[in-house]
Amino acid sequence: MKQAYANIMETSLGAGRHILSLVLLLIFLQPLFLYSQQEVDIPGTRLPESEENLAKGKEIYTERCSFCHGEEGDGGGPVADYLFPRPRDFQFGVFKFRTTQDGDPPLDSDLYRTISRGIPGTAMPEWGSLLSEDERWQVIQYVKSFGADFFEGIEPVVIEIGDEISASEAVVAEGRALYEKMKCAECHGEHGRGDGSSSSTLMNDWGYKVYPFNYAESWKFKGGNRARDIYMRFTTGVNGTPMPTFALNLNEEERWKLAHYVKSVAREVVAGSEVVLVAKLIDGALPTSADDAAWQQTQGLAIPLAGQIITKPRWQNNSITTIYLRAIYNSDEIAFLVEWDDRTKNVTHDDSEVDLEALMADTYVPASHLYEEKKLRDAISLQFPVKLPTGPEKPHFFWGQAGKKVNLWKWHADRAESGEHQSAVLELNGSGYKNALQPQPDSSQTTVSASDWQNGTWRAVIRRSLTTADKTNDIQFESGKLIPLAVQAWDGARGETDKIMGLSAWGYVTLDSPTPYSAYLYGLLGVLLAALFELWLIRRVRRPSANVAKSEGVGQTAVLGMDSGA
Amino acid sequence: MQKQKKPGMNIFYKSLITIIGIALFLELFFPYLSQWIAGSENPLPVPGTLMFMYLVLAGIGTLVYVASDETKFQEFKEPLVEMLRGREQKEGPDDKTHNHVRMAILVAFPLLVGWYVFNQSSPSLSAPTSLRIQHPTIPQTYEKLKNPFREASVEELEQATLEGRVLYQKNCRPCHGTKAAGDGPMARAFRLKPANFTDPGTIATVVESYAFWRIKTGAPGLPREASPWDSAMPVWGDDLTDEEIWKIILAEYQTAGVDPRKPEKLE
Repeated sequence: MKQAYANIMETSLGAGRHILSLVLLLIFLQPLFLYSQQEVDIPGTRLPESEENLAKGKEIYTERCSFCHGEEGDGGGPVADYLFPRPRDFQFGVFKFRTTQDGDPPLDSDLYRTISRGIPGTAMPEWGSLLSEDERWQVIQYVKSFGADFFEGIEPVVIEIGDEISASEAVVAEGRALYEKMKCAECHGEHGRGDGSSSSTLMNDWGYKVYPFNYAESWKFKGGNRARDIYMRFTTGVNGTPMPTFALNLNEEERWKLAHYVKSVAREVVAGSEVVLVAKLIDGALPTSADDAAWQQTQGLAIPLAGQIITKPRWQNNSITTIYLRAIYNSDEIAFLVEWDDRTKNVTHDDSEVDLEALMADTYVPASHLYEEKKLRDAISLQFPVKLPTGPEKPHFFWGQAGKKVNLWKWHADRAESGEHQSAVLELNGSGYKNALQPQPDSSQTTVSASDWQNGTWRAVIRRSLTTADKTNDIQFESGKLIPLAVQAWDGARGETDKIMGLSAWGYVTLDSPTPYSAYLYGLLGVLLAALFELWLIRRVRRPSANVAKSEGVGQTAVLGMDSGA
Repeated sequence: MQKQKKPGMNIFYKSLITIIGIALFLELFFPYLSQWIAGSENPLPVPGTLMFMYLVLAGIGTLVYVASDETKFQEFKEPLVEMLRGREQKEGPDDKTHNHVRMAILVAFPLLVGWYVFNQSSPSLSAPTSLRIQHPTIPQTYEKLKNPFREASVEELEQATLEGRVLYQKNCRPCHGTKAAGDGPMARAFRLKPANFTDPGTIATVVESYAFWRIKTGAPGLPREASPWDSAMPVWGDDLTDEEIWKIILAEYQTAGVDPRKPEKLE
């Protein structure tokens, strides 16, 4: 029996597999998962519509699309209730991403483009890697059949894109003026974070909640993030949503300017491209507010967050998908600047708003959980292991595990607002998600914080001494080490509390230290030793030939002999 | 110059070219070869540590070849000795150039050593990359389990697969993706990317009981060498019945378009 078992393992991990596994491993090391935003090649020739192709399309649709979009094409598949935004209902011929005039149905090529590249930031993946061109045309024919009345006999007016006006400071400034004139901020907010005054009240044509787009997260532009894509959205409108067309109120030039302004709001960092936050060493006091110019001298890190999908209540519609971090330290203390986009400022907390017990009846919390705004506080937490790891082994990134505690600095918006505490941060310890987080005693609560919410962005500065007295519960910062760091985030208005949250995997923070003198010394020593070794070798080969001949053999003598003869 | 009388290139330079050739092959061509074998979307570069190992092996191999024959060894040593000793100036411009190159190399060598030592002893800021065993050994208690639906009637199997596909799309899709390609909307945030089931190196290389073990016990069921602390895999045993898990396994293979590995006959 043992023998047979060993055989299985040996064959399954045979030589070929070994190499393959090593190769595959690299996929896991790949730090970045980029959404494709490039142009989709739309084939010139397409499959003609036919009964046969319709039947093929139905087959593919049932196999691949029906779980979300529903067998009837009503956007009500078995998975639909868990998704935000909800899958498209195909029965009314209403589509968001078109190159046709407001109100007109899309071209086949518009649907082809969306199917091929997917919709970033949603559950709609790219299908270009799985479905052949013909299969895509077949499925398009079937998708259109759900709302056939809205396509038949209609000749949509196609929007032609003229010459693009390129971006410049002046163009962006004029775009900004148009942004104000057209009252874009009412929904999209003063700085485009999707936090306008009416942002919480918007619904789509089906009566489902929608949020205005946050321009800062430019990698999530659903219809593409190039200026021409944004221009197209202004021109066609996003049908089915409150986003209107501006084709009548703005001329082409103005739409280009507005598009360039919207593009300029994007944050420059790409979440997930780096994993190490470098804390900068300074002399003197650390910044106490987010406005301090010292932060601009640091290198920021953008951490991507996923929904908490590990344990019930699982949540895949996390509101906060990126957290931006900066860090500065001096000889005594370390300060973190944490920034994240949140459309609403929620500084009150009422636990009774959410019935966790009921939400845990299902494996996932349905998306409808966020339709009604909740009176719950916003929060974020920074997480560190209590003991610095010596090898690769770490506590689990979700609140640690038994025997491998983590230290959480959980910032609460209600604590920040009340000002009753010296810090909005409550220090906690976690030993696995199955155990309740343990608040530390008052004597161990040593952080200091300051925070503000402006135009859809929270900023919190959290400061603590590098080392503390409570060594069994607190992270102790040491320079020259890679210190694991993870974050979690809650948007109260969207019903995020407890384990209904966004969370990140482990990244690192390191205290940047000046190169120690010893490194220079060792380097110099290396040069000296190498030079001495070289000189010794040269002397050795230059010695009278007899000596060399003895030790190096006859052949060498011959070579030397020839040389000296020449 | 007597040396020019010898036909062809000195064996030292041949060895050098061979090793550089191997390095270039590993660096430029091999990633595409692995991409082709693994059927991945992107070229798969050779990891640094592995590259180092390969080159050390290539170096040892070359040395063994050279040392196997006394004349070869002497020929191999010749440029090295010449480099250390230098040529006599009287032999014309060719030797002058040689001596300039010699001087440059003799100066550069200690500096390079110094630079390497300096880099090694100053703190580095890059994240550690640790090798991970992707397919750790399955515990014996799971090893012999069989998917009950594989032995059921065709209708039952079909029904179970269909139910499994709904369960898969509902529960697994957020990370592993609608297409089972490891590209669900949650995948981006995790360091350990969710397994891509369409990849021939994942579920196609394991028996169904292996998949059952991974789904039922999740990250906490992984041994140390598979870095469970970076895995977001839930303990589905807490929330799904065994039957549901077997159904999901049927669906996983079907969605990804691959077959499970056939278990070997056990005595």
